[in-house]
Amino acid sequence: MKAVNKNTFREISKSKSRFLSILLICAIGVGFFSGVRATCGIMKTSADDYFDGHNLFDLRVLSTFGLTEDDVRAISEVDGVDGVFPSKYTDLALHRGEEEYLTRVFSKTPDEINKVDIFEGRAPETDEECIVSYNILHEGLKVGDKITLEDLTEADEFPLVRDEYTVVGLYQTPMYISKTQRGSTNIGDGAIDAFMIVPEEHFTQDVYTEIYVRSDTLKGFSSYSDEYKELRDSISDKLETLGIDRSEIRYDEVIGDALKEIEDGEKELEKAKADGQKELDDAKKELDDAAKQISDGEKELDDAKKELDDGAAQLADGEKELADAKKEIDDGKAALAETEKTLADAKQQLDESKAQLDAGQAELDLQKAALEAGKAELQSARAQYEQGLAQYEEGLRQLQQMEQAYGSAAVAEAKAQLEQTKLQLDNALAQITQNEQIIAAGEEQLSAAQAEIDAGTAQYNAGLAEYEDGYSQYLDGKKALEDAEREYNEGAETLAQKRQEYNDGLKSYEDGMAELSDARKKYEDGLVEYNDGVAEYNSEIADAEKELSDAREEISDAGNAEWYIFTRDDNVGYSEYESNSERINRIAAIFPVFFLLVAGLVCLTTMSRMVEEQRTQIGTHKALGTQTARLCGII
Amino acid sequence: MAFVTLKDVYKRYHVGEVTINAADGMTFDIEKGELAVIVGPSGSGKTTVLNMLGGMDSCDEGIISVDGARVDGYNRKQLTLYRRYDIGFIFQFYNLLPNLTAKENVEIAAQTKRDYIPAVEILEKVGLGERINNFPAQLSGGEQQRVSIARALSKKPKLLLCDEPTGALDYNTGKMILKLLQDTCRRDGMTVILVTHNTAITPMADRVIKIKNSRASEIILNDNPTPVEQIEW
Repeated sequence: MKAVNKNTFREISKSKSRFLSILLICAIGVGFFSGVRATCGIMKTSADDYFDGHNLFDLRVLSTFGLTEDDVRAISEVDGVDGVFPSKYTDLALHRGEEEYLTRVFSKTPDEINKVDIFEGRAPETDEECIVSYNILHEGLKVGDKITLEDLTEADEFPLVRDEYTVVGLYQTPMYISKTQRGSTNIGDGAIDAFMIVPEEHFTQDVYTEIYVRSDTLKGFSSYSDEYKELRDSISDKLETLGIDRSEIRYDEVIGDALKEIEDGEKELEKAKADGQKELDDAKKELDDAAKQISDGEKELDDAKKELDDGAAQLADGEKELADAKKEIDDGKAALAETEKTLADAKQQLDESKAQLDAGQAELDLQKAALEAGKAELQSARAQYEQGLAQYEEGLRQLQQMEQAYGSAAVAEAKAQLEQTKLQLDNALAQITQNEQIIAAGEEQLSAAQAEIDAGTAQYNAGLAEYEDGYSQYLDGKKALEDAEREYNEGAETLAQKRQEYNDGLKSYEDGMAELSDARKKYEDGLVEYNDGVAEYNSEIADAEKELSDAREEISDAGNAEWYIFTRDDNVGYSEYESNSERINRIAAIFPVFFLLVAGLVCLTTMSRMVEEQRTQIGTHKALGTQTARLCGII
Repeated sequence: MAFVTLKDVYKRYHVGEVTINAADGMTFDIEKGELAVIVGPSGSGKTTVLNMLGGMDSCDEGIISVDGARVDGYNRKQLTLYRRYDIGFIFQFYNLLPNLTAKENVEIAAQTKRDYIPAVEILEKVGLGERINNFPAQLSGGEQQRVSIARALSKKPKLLLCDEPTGALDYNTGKMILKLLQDTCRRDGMTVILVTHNTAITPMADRVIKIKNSRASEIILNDNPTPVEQIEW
């Protein structure tokens, strides 16, 4: 070995660790750089192989108005197109027990397009079986699950012929390589959770939802390369041009039918409107007549009622009258009875009084006689008195004379006797006076009694006259009462009759009222019916008009039939993958470079130090004429 | 045409505003097979001249000619080849490669050209037959210098340039080295240029070039050079 090289190796072995660490750091740096740099390409190539192996579509055509067999034919004639595969899909909610997954149900397409890998279970063999693919985050569905499907939109018809399936296999589709993203939808929360494949016959719609297009030339290019994109864009442009024509044709097809339907509908509506209006008018007229009748009837009934009320009042008055009369009669009877009794009593009384009076008179006469006797007695007494008095007076005169003559003593006894005689006279006078008084009183009494008796007699006479009057009144009254009773009976009869009439009338009125209320009820019902009818008519007309205007709106909203051409780039997983590898590429452009730079810097530092250390040696070498390049070997 | 010619050679160093002329119009000639000694005080430009002659430095002005070739106009590659093939350099501080044995040190120089003297042979010639596998750290100063000389000689150069070869050696070893050089010159007819500040050894030279103030102040030709053994200093 040449000495120069020996020098190098010995230098290395002197500082193995330094050499090794530098070696390692360079190795890592380079490895990292090249590895990361290469990743982008490798990723893309791997993906491309996968897509080619599974015949992933290159272009996907959708139309706002659906696609037909004619469209399929037209597309397959486009230059560059090698495979045309129509398909149908619909978005439904998949239920397994309590869980719900938003599922896009695809129709089965041949393996030449979007070939799926069944990684668990098997392919379906009967109509009840299906295979599903699910978002790995949910991991709900397993082989053997029974599932039901539900349409979350308000469509009239369920998009499939059956809504129950058994899962027999789980599959992987090249269309969605992302583990978490499965595309978006209009239903539910907008994110699709799972996919399902069922045979095309299970779909009720007869137009295709989408058409997958494949090109062999494109297959030859790498999926993410520029040549692929160029050629794909040119084919896409051709399809777009084709789409403009085809969508016009389709639009006319669909809209033409729809417009005709709308026009028919409008004609129907007009006719129905007219008919309905006429019916309503007739009904209204009927109702109005009925109303008039009812109001007439009401008026009649009111009058009748008024009459009845009057009658009732009258009856009531009459009854009252009768009652009063009866009362009167009874009172009268009672009064009469009483009067009779009174009269009898009075008569009795009168008789008694008469008797009394007579007795009294007799008594009075007796007393009068006694009184006269007394009076006479009294007169004699008086006379006596008078005599006595005269005697006294005489005596007194004598006395006085004597007194005058003899003096008082001599007369004293005579005076005393005179005095006594005076006293006796006074007593006698007093007695006489008293008796006079008594007699006067007695006379008074008697006269009073006589007056009383006279009064009594007068009273009696008056009473008798009264009684006579009364009796004749009583007789009158009795007669009157009899008349009244007769009248009353007549009156009661009449009243009963009238009452009967009234009851009849009342019954009649009540019947009339019942009739009226029936009629009114009928009228009300009729009115309600009419109103309902009007409302129904209006609402139905409104509904129908709305339907028609909605339909027109729908037609204008539907806009034009348009084709939408989607490429692989519109698939989330696909473009995500591409951007991921691009990202790695960009990282590779910077990150490993830093790493490498660091490695380089380390090397540089070490080398600089080595160069410094070996200045002399290097100088020596150079002096010896060693090439600089060779010298670097040491470094 | 002399074997080695220097004519009006200038080497300027610019330090800020000051310009230092390491070689200030240096002019001298040296014939083939001569033992030339360049003497001068320190800082006079001796080493500069030797470096320029050895192709390790370039001049700013002037002509440097070796064996008819214009060395001053050489580019880097040519200089490298010139150094490799035409020059044998002996340094003051030996400059041996510490990782290599004596033999390898010599080989490293020799293996650069096709026509060379084998290392063992030349090492024996300088008297280091037993020490060929020793590393420089295991050799004494004199032995190292001899290895250095062997290295230079094995290349069979046109020119042997010695920069104060005895500077780091004692009197006796120095003398021995000088004797070796003189013998090589005489025996093999090699042109030897020796730079020293020791004026005592000038008698051994065929030509003495005195450098003063960066120019050749005096060139003395010596018809009877004294053998080294006889020189005492």
